[in-house]
Amino acid sequence: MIRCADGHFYDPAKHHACPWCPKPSEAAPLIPGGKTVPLRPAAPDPPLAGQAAMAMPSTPTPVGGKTVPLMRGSGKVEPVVGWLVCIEGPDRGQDFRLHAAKNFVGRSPAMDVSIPGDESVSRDRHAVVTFEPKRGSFWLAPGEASGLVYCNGEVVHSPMEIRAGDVMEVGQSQLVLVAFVREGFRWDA
Amino acid sequence: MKYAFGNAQHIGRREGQQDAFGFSNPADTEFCAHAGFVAVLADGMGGLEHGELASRAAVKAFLDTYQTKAAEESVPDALTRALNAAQDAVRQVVADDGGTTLVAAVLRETELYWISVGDSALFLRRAGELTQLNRAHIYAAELDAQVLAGALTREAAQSDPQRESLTSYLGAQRLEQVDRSLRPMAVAVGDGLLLASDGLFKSIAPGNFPARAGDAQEYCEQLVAAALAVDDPDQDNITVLMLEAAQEASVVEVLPPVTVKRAGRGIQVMVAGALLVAGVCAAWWVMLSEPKPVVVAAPGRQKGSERFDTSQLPEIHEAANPEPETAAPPPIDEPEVSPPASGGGKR
Repeated sequence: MIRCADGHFYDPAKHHACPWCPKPSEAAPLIPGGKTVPLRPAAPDPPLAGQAAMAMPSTPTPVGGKTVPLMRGSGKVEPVVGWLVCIEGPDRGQDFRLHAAKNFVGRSPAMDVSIPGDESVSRDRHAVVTFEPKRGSFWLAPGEASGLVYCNGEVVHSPMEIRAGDVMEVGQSQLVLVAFVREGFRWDA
Repeated sequence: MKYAFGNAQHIGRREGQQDAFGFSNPADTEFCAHAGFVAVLADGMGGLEHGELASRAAVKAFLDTYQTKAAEESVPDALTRALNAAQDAVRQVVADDGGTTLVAAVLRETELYWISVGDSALFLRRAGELTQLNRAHIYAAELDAQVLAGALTREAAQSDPQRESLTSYLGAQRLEQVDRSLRPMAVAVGDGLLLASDGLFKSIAPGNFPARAGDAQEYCEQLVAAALAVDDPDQDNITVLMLEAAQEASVVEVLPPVTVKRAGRGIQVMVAGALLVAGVCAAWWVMLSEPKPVVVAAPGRQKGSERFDTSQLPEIHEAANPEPETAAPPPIDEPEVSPPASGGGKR
């Protein structure tokens, strides 16, 4: 075997030059001694098909199989608008944060309000708790799953406005609404 | 002790080769006597060409710095110094977009030393069994710890989109975690060390690596071929290096380095020829232009590495006794690898 100057080994019977060394054009940016290398081309190369969005990922999550750094606290924090606090059921004592627009309630970890401990809660979209930012109101609606939703003991068939202190019931769990956005406080103010 | 070695690489289904690697010179017996034989592998990441630049810069700085090891300096100290130099070099090339993993292993006679940042793997292959010696610095470790502590459900930990993301890598503002061996691990003739980028072991689990046939070089090629045979449409870059304490050393011819100095000398020879041929006017012109390359080449070479001292490495996990144990997450069930000399027989 032959050891090239960059510390690679290759078989001269198979390769006339080191097959592991980058081609000169690729290696060029590394050569200038001590000089700062231009990191970004002034005009970026025309992106290859489907690559445009991947070039500078703001959140590194979905790039399949690529090596990516961990982004701690990455993604914008969605401002909390209130909480559901479990007062009855397997997850008694647990709080769940609510953000603006729709919060899906279910057992799956992908749900906004995920209640993993209660087997009688449907996996996906058992209920929907909506925060409507213009008026600052909370709404409760049944989800697409088969399980029923109750508010203060009454079954919920269609979206209804709920207020702080109202108790919703999904499966065996009772959740009370605690409002953070209320009279006198708004995120956009 | 003789060293056998091999290397193989494939771009997979990616646009660029972001893996880089290199070995020290096994023919330099004087250096090998105190510094051993080193193999280093880096798996770069980042937008544009930053992944390529980062991994190549890391390998080059690492090898160049390790090469400056004096006989008095210990191998672990030299490895740490080389890692810091690599960190320095990567920071210069990628700014804050991108970085690279790095894993390096040194065989000195029957001693193994290593250092690692990121999720590239170092495996010990003893009597046909593979054991990973280093830990991957990925978010999964933190998530799984939270699951054990009851703070997170297993489902949530498994489905976290950042599960495979690196928690420590060269090019980060701080090196969050560095794993290294503080004391050497004993290896025996027949023990093999594999360094691999995740393109290999994410395609084939280490337990399913093909049985070895042939020498170290052939085994590296065999492993790359096996990973490619999985035919993942999103196959990552694959790099496999093998380092072995062997009866028969790999035969190697070492090509002289093509250094900047040498190129400069070439220019000077050409200039001298021009001086002879041309008249006095031409000589004046050449003398005016000739000093330029010398001036440019003189400053800023090397020696930027001392800025990162060891105190800047926060959480160094000293694997004081890096022998594989059941506590490590090996893909193998039997904890039979512990006595270092047990695998000495011929495979």
